[in-house]
Amino acid sequence: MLKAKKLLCRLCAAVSSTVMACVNVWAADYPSEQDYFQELPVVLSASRLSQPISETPNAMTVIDRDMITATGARNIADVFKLVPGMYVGYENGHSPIVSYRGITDGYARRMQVLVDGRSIYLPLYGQVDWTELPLDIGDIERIEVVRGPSAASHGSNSVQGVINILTRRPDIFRTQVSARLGEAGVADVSARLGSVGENWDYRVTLASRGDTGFDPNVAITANLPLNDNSRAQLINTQISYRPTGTDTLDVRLGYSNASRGLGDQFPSPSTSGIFATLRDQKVSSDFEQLSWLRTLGGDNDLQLSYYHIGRNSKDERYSMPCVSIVHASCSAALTLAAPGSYLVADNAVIHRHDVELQQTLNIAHDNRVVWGIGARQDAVDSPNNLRYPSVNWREYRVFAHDEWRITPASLVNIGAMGEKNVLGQARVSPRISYNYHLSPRNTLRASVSVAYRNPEMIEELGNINTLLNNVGAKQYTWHKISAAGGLSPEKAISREIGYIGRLDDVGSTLDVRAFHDQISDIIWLDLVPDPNSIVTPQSFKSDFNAFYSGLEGTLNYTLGAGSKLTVNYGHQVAGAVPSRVSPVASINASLLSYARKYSQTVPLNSASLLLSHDFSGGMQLGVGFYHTDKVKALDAGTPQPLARYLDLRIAQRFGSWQSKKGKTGGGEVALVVQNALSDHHLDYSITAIQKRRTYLTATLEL
Amino acid sequence: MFRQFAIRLLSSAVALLLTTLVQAGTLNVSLVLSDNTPPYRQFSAAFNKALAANNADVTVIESQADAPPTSGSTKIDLIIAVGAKATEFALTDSSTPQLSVMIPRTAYETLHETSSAKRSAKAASAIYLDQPWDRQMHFIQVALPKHSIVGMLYSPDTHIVLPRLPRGMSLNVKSVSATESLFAALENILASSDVLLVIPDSEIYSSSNVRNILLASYRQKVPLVGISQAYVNAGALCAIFSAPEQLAAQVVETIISFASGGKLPEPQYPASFSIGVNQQVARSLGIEMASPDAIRERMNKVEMGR
Repeated sequence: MLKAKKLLCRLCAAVSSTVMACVNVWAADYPSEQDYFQELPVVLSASRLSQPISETPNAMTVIDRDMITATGARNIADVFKLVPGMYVGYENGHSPIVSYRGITDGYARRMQVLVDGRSIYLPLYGQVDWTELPLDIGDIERIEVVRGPSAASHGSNSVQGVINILTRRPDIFRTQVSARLGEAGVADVSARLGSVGENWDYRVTLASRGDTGFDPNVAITANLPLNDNSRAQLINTQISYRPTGTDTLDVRLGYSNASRGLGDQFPSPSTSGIFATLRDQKVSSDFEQLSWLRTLGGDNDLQLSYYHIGRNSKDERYSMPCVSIVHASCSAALTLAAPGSYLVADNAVIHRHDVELQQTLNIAHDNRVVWGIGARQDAVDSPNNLRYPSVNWREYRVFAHDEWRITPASLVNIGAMGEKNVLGQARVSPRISYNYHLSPRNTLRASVSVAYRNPEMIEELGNINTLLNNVGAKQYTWHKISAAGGLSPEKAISREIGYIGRLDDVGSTLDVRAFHDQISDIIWLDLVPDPNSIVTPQSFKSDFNAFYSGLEGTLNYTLGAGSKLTVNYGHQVAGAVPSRVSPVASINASLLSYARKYSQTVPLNSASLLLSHDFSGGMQLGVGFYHTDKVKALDAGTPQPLARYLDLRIAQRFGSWQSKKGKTGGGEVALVVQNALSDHHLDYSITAIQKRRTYLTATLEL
Repeated sequence: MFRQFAIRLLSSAVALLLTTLVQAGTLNVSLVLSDNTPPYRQFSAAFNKALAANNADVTVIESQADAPPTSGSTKIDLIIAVGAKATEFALTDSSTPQLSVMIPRTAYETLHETSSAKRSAKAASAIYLDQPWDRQMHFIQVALPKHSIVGMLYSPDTHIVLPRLPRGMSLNVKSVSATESLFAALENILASSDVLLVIPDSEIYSSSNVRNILLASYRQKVPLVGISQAYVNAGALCAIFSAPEQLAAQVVETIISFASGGKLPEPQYPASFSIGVNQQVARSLGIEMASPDAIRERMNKVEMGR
């Protein structure tokens, strides 16, 4: 606008020779004092400023875009290997397990996972489906991982930790296209475009990703195939609109459509005991999120947000639980006479609606308060999994957090969340921490926090039951899960002391902590007899009290310009005792055996290392090394062996990406070798071999 | 006892004498404001207050550039032109000495070069609004000793003379032509600078751009050094600037010396300045930032040592 005015004035100056007619020529050509008296909206208002790591109430790991790039990862789950004490393993090529504090089973139930504040931890089983997430790894700006309970800030189920993924703001101003091709059928493409404007910005990402998964471990699975190929297509968009200087409306939308292979057996009328028929699971996911931020002066932000996530999964196959001959999976007494093929379905439609009002307020220069109220509804239609065809759970929460700088050197974070959970039970999750700056560079932190994990739907209302053929007059069933209900939330109490140090002026930091967490009433399996079922159904009960203690540390070291090293280390021990005594001796025996095995669910030592180096001439090197000691899930037969993993990434940048001086047009070609050390890596699943995998990524920015 | 009485008597006599002297040379000042918006009103209020505080016998006739006063019978001794618009207006009067204030140096110089009314240099002077480069660089060096690469963005129409730099500091300057490339240039400059220094350039630092610039610089952990308290409030890490009150005090001093000597000093930068620091931003970025007073003290100490 200003430019046009200027041009107009120059034109008019050329046409008319009177100076008076063209006063603006001069007015626009020198800086006016208006630049100094310009009124500006408060941009970095209270809610936009994050706490530095030395002042957070919990231990926190931050992974930024550069680190994600350096890892060469194409699955978001792999990035979490950079969190001390975090477990990342694969059940198969498309089912990663990301869990803090070891693994009890294939689901990580004790961690909240948020994307831009949207909870993607799903209510049915209590899991995160990383593969079909409508989010491209290239759109992640940074990931903040809170290590420890954080209900006061992140809501319910923030029991052992919180993963908070923050996506790039719509600050894209050039179109980017990227293609990746490599071994194991890796074929990904993505395109990203956007625009930055005066009042509104937008970003749109389109992506498709997929591979053919891992290889079967023939030593164990004989010649069974491993059907774990997957493909997901997605669109993800963010629009930021600023109607006034004090209002920002962010709209985020996403949709993905995914298909993944499951099962390892071909259905054949002559084979018995087939449960896992080869088939494809189809999943579509979507989300819609609206957040409105109003800045009432620099010290007072009001934010109203609403989101909906939807997930529709369809998994249907014909299985032959038992046919005519005795099979190990069936009770020997129940050899069914009538061969049959039964439709087993695992379909679910999930809708989550969440609304929250939050205020961030600087009540004094040394005191910041965040408080809010929220409500959530989880509606699930999954007659194949739940006792009722349609389940509707609601929860309500109120939370407050106060960050009070008592003296310039000491800070208290005190907060709590009160919730009325899905089962109508009221709980309060408090947290208090004291951070003391020994010097501006050295900080000590001590904190105690409490959080609850609400039971998942499957634990409270699960019912997986397939009717089989009659044998004589008796109706047999294949009854896998039969939840008795009446559960209470698990409770976690965490205590920790930590040290956070800044080592130099170029951003090197050291962060160490010792922790002791107790989780009471851990919900685990309880077998309930069903005389009609060919398998003994599982129910859920509060079975254990467990503890976790250990040490964790992160060193971020800047070796020089464009050269960084991150080293993470975690040392942890765990143990459990049964929290109940069953009248049935065999159940008591199994409880005790589980409790004894509990200590194996955490790897004693785990470590990761990431080195990134920028060579002159636009060449970049990334080296990621990951180590996990032996670990065994409670439901696993054999332990996961000690696992070491090396990833290498070499990239050559060109154009504006290389010199930073060029105007537009640039990009890079990157070669990634995952698992460079071995061609036979095993982790969570011993039936899936992770071979060395090489892929090439080309990115072009127009 | 007697001695105290004598001193009191003597000082009253001096005061009386001074008052008489000033009255004898009563000065008629025309205060021309560029417009009626808060910064000019603030200046006017501070100006009148400072005059009163100095007991200066000055008659002030206030007007605005867009609404000139009906030329009364009073003979104007000095025009105080507040802002560029007021200076432009004052330049139409070539006979009266004039002092411009609250005007950036380039604006003042451009206006004078292009003015049709040629006048003797002695009859016009200015107290600029902008801080001298040396002071700005010195400020960054003292406030942010670890931030030695100073990035600056400017549009091609902006005329800047690059400053001399204190030892250990370097400049990283990039020209930006359109909105489209602003963010490309910003990305580059943030990647290669320790701190981004705002310059008065309305094409780059428009209200809507400032938002994106602040967010980008915060994300890249490259702090912004602003040119006003408004920048500090918006999210800049710090700023050095002169408030209307500080400029008004300097103008009053200049008037008093003009009243006695009849001469205007050479155009000069503001003598006193303010420092703004956003401690919340500093903490969030993990930057150890001294208080404004401590920074000023250190600046003075280094200044004295030179």
